[in-house]
Amino acid sequence: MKTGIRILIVLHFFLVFLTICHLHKYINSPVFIAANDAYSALTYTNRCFGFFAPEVGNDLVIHMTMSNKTKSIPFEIPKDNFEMRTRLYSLTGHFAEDNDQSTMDLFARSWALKCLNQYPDMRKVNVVVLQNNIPSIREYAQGKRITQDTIYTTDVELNENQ
Amino acid sequence: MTLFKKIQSLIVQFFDYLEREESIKPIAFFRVNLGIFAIIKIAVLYDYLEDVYGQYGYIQWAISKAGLYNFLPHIGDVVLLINNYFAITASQTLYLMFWVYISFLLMLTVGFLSRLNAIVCFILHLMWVDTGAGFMYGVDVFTQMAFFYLIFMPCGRYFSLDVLLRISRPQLFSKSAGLTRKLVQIQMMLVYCSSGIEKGFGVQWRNGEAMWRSLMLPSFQQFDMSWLSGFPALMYMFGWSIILIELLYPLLMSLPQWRILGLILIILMHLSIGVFLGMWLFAYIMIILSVFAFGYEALKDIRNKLAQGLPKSNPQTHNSIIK
Repeated sequence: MKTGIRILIVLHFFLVFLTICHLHKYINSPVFIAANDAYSALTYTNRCFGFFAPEVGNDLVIHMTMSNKTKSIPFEIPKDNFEMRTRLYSLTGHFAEDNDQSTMDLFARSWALKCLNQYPDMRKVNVVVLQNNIPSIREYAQGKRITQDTIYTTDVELNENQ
Repeated sequence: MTLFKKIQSLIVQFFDYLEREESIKPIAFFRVNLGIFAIIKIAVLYDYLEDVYGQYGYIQWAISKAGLYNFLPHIGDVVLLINNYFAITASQTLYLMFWVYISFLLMLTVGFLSRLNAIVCFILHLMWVDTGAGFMYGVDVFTQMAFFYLIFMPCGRYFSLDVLLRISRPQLFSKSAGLTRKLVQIQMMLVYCSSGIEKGFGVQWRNGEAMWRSLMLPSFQQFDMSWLSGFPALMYMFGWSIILIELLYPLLMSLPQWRILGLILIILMHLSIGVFLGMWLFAYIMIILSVFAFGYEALKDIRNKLAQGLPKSNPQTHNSIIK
């Protein structure tokens, strides 16, 4: 029993250590990859913990405008709560995580569907994701300010029969 | 053979250290604080439950469920299960699960059927994280990790209803209390040290830009900190301070003469994250984990220092403080 527990502890920290050191990427065994991923998905202990590392990226802002044949109105994402603000930052982070177009499209369609469910009289949603470009300390001191670039835009429209 | 024996002896010594009997009081601190924290964590999102975790929230269940292993819990599964017996909507199930989760967390906090509730809360928290995967961030990672370790702790043996109702035998010291707390210590050392190394690799952290950017990001901005552009040396200093605190965390926490300072620095660092970035919940869980892992030793260090400061001619007072 005691030996069994000791072996489990060693195995646990072996997985934690491998992942933290990014060494798990070099192990190609499908069995190991599946086991390591499943363990991570369950316990959250064997993950990479470099938050805001190695760099702090630019944050993203979501703008959605809903429209039908007669009007066009902006959709306000509620963020009047400190936790919701942080979670929205995470949401946009996951959106642009791998810079993968299909992931971005999936997220954007999901956001648009949320708008259309909330406002059933609307037919179309224009999703725009802007990036806040933060100037460096020196640039800021020289007068440069935060600027915004559009990094993603799409229209999600309901079919006529929907 | 000699080398093999030496290694074997080292391993035995290491496990003997891990399995040393220790006070169960820090476990009670951990259980109560984790319970309260988890209640606050879900309660602050009550007005946004549908947005974050709902079937047609910002990330629909079809998407969050698709990226999961089959064995992982999801509120969608609960809806399917409940719909076999009762006709309630997905939205009603969401709110039902909210109150069910709060109830289990309350029972965990007061220490009623503690071990069982730790397991249930571990599964329920995982369900919330998996359902709102699009909104997941560090706070969810560390809360899930905390619940995972709590499962193996003797969490109902002190300061609990289990003891009061005689469901569990009261205990002040146990081997499993010592072992599980040391496992959390190792985990936290690995977490901070690796985070320090990763930050150290980033140019932005080494030249202070990361600190500047964190404070200037509109998503997190709590105060107008733009005046800091006039003090780049301050940003440089803060950047390096964060790298060093995180990198040296294992050392600071291992050495009794540095432990109190280390713990204060970590608490200050996380409080700053709360004040300046508004990430109060992340700050809270990280403080709970560090205080749980090393607070007991830090308290011992404080007592020892106080005892050393007392006049040697009064051994009675000296002993009473150590106790």
